[in-house]
Amino acid sequence: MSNEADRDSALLQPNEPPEIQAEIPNRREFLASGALLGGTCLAALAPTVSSGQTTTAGNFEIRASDFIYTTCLQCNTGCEIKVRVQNGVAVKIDGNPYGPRSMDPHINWNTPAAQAAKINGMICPKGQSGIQSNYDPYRVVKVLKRAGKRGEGKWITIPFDRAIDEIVNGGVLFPQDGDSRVTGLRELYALRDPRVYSAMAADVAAIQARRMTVAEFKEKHRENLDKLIDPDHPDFGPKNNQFVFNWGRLKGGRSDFFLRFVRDSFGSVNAHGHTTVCQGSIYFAGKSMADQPVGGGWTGGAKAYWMADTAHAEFIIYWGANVLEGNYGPPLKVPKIMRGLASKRLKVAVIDPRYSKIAAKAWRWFPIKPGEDAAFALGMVRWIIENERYDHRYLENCNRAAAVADGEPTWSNGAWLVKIRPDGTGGAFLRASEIGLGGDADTFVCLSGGRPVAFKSDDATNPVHGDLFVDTTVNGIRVKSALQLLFEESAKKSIAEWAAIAGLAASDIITLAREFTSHGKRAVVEIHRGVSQHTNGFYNVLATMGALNLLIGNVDWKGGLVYGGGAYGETGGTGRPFQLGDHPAKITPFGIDIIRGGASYERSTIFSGYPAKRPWYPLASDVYQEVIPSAGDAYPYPIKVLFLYMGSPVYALPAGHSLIPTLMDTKKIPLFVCSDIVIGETTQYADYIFPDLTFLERWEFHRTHPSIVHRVSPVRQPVVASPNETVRVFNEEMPLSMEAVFLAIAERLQMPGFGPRGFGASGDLTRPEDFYLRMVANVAHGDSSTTADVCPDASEEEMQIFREARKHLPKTVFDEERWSAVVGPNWWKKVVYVLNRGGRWWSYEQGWTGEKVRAQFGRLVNLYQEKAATTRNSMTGEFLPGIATYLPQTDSLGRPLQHGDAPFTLITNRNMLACKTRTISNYWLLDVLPENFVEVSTVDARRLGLEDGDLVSLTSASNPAGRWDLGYGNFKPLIGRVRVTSRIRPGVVTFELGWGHWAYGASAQMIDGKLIPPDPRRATGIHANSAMTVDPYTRSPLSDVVGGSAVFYDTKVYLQKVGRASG
Amino acid sequence: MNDPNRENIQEKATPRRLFLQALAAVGSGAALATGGMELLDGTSAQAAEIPPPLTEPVGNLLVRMQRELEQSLSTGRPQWLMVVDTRKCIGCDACTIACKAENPTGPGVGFRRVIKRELPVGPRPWVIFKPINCLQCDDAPCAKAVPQGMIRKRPDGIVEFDSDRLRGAYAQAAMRACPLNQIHVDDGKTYTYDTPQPQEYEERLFFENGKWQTRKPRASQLPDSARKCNFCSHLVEAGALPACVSTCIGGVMYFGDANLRGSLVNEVTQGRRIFKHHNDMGLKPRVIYFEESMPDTPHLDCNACHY
Repeated sequence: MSNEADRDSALLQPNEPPEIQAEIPNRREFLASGALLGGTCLAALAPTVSSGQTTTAGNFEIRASDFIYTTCLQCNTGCEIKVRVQNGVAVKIDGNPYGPRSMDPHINWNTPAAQAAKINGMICPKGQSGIQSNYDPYRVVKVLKRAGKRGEGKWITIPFDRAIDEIVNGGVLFPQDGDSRVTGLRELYALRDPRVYSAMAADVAAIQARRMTVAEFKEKHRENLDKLIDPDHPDFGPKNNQFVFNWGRLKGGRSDFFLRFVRDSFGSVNAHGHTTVCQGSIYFAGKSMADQPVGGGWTGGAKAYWMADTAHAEFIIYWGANVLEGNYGPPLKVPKIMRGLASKRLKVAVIDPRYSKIAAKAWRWFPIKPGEDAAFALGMVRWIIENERYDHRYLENCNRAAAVADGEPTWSNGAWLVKIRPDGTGGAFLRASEIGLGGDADTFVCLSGGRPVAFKSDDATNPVHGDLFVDTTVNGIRVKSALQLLFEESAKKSIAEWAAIAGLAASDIITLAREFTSHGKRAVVEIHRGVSQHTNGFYNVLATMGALNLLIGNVDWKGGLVYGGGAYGETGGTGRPFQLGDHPAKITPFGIDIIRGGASYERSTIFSGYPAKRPWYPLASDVYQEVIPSAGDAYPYPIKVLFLYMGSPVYALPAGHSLIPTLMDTKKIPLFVCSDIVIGETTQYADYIFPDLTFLERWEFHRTHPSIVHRVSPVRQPVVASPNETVRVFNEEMPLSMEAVFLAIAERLQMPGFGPRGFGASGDLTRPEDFYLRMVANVAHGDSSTTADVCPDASEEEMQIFREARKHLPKTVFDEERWSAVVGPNWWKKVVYVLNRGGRWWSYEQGWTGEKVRAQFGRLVNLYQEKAATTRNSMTGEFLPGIATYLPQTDSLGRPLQHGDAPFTLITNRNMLACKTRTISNYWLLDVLPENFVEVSTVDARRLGLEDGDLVSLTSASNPAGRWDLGYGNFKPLIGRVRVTSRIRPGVVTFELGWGHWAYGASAQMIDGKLIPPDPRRATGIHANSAMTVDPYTRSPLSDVVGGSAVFYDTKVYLQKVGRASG
Repeated sequence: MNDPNRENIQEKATPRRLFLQALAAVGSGAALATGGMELLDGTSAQAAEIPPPLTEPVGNLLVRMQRELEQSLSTGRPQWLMVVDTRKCIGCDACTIACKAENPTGPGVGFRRVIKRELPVGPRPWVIFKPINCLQCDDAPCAKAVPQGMIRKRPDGIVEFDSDRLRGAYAQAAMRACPLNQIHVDDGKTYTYDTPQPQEYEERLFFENGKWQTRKPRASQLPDSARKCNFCSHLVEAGALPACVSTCIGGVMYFGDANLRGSLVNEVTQGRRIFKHHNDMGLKPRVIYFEESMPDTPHLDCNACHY
């Protein structure tokens, strides 16, 4: 190695924090400055009365009152946890033994709290480290307002009330930007009358259906045109839509509260989550598969998908699913998998370019080429069909009656007839009325013994069985069965050809297909990000989770594919005591949203041929990577205010660096308000940061995910006091939180739905507990619309435990008198009963009934997606395929991706020790893995002369400089340490997500003129997302334009050795 | 970073010589692309000697072990035993962190660690995960290395330190005597005292070796003292399982009383082949391991640590 390279490596140590030039004061000076970060209020927090061990006399004891049961948020699994509090400090997190996610099997929910105290459940290393997410030295505890330019790292602290006044009233808020006036929320709160909303929404629908002209609309609504974004485009909706609320991790309860503000009260259609950065194309393929035929269209499918009944499956294919480290559920799934393997009940196969930890326990590992999942799956489909290894009995059922007769909870549309277009592709289903068999728009046709038979999907009395493979003409209409279309897709190539595309062998396909079809209903394909985060993600999902599982008809079966037990009706419903939807003037917002989710380009008033300026997502929503870039392009309209809650798109998204110029541009995003617990990679560009509560300080209802077969309502509740400043809203004192921000804005705007009579006749909404305790009471009410499932009152002993355990909480957090008044005396002790257990759920045994799961999907599952097949791609103008198909990776215009001659496909992986953006503060975890690595296969390393510990730089066609450009001349180079391993497919390199930070305490920040020094432990490792492909047309992260997934795994990169490790 | 145990906390890169040979045998680097390679079931001479796996115990084992623990505390003279089934270990380090939270330790130090090793045994990578902590040896080398009384073998089998006396040179001697590097000398370092705001959880009281302790800088008596795993004896005596045992999502560890008839630790060791660390040294450990493999995992041998 040359001296020059040595010098470079010294310059480019990945351990170094980003190059923010500032003088670092010594610690004493810093502390004397009394900055505003977490813990400066510790003295004020010191409890007057402590719970837990208060003395050094005697031995260690375990008392029920030492614990508060709540719900983890160190990742989105949301395990039930039990937190030990000592002198007001959370010191230890254990699994909650009552919890389905944290004990296997979980103990009876009615076990007295005193008995549960000494039983601890299971929780993962991140869960254990939640203590350090909470007690983070870099926490923000007062409102920060930027004092310099966006992202410059200069802040002042300002009073909460002043901050709220500024964002509500607008004005010249940032003199350093010149005299430009910022539009405040009051001005955007333009349209307020719910009746006008309804009338306009109906007429916009009429315009889209070409039943009304824009001119007619303008005439009819002339008095309110000034409240629209653009009267010439009424389908943009009112100015209220220029307020955009975007979130990263938002769960139930808080979501209900926040959306009550954004949608129901403020009237903005722009409330967007982050789904597509995780696994959007799984959700939206799942939604499509779950849609039911109604009125000639398809609707009702939830944004959800299916997973394995891990506790009973005999064979699971973990496909792009790192199940032992992520994938919704180490504490939930690992015990079931490991016990299953040890007892030989279970056998697993792994399809993943990387040898994940589950591969280390697997029967077989198939190191597939990234993104070629559909090829491998279609090879399996072909073999299964040609060898008749599918479940004929399941697939021929065309409707509910036929399924019920076979004891099948679900049925598919595999035997339904699809009309074939002249180009040979499948279009809409044949309707019975088209061939003179009568019926309505939802009456379909199959061939039964060669004769057309009409049926309705949900008909429970007339069973109809269809012929499976049909290719014929009926009354002159060319038709094929959906299964025939699937088979033809699979028969486009030989099994050997499919295997070659996937980079595997034909024998691999056959071996796996044979095993998969050798366990009856107790085999499952379980997928995750590895399948979906590609430009072809939607169709990869249909081929894997969809086609393969449906071929064996395993849905709702014990050990099969399950949809999850859902949550209790937390927000109300028939028979429940509180209706959280009660609102004196609820608005239903209208208009195309800025990500064009669920919207039709062709029906919009801005249709101008193909390609559209940016993609439209008629089958998806919550397209995270579209929010900020769409604001940047002002497409379909400009925004005025962006609120970002618990999200870091710059860090989390692939090619997140492409968002930074827009975030820094005060013309494109005139007001950028963030809620965060620290100054993070994205919130560092904020105009205002409002400190939020951590997961150990707040309320939330985490709900569930598909792999939990039980009905579950875990509750997240305050465990410790917050260091945040106390604010006063609606005459109530509370620690600063996102709820406090919304309440304060509502108070300023005199917005219905909050404050006194916020629930109308049903009561006040002046503090968070008014909302959340009502939800807990609904959980206490239980499953039934009658009182049959109402939970018991907490005993006097349990009431004492409850009070004792909360003695350290200040009155602004816990006030028994105030709390009990929210739900009233009839419900208070039941609420305590639920809170003493951290939530409510079915007992373990209740998860299954005989050979089925108790909570069943119980409806049609679509093998063929008619809605997709009749929808055009907004970029190419072509119809989308309706059946699982193989697509190569492309840009948004459908062109092959250009990587130059870059040799390595870059993928990412989850290490259980990190949760993307928010665990770098967890020093215990960093102790185990202080930095992440660029993992390179043994074969490639030998070729490149790389050894363990070498430093490599990553570059790509769209990031040839190989760095993050953070603005103002600050860069973070894409340099990481190599780990050479046989555990990855040659030609593929990976890195663990969660390291390589440049904010979140990893960079210096100037607050009130004082410098907060960075912590170099937080800057280690590499975060290589900015090497990922920027779409050449949209100039934003690459996207699956059908399912919405942000694309992580379709980039090729160069590796260049830049130095040797110094050790 | 200088802790001698640290290297094993880190995931080690594997010596790749044998793997490369194996790869050469099947052709080239592209051989991996033929994928789906079955494990070498029964091809290893050692594997053939292992009896077929016994039945996996069913039910809620954490509850059962906790009940047995209380039973042993109230009625018997417990002999605590930890049985480790590495087949189910996934190397997640939940135990590592649980241990650090329950028994406060400083940066780079932990009483429990998990060895992760890639074994070059075939064309497919083979990975073993193995938790390790103080073995509570009946014949403990550490006890022999220091004056009598500083290290005590309790009646229940736990090896306990007198942390007031086992300091300085004695602590160093004990540390050096342990063949598994399971003894640490507390250096007094914390995680947050060099940050903008030291955090209270690092100052908390905890019960160790029979007395209340703190790691609060300047107030702590611990710096320079030897420390190690003691099966979370404070939890055990209060009726709860050791932190690593209960938090383990793989259900890797069985903990209980070898003296209790029908206890889970007795049940699961019945008829098993047991692996003991440094058997040649006659340590008589209270932490023992299943030797067998699952169909698709390597069986446990010295390679896990000493390859």
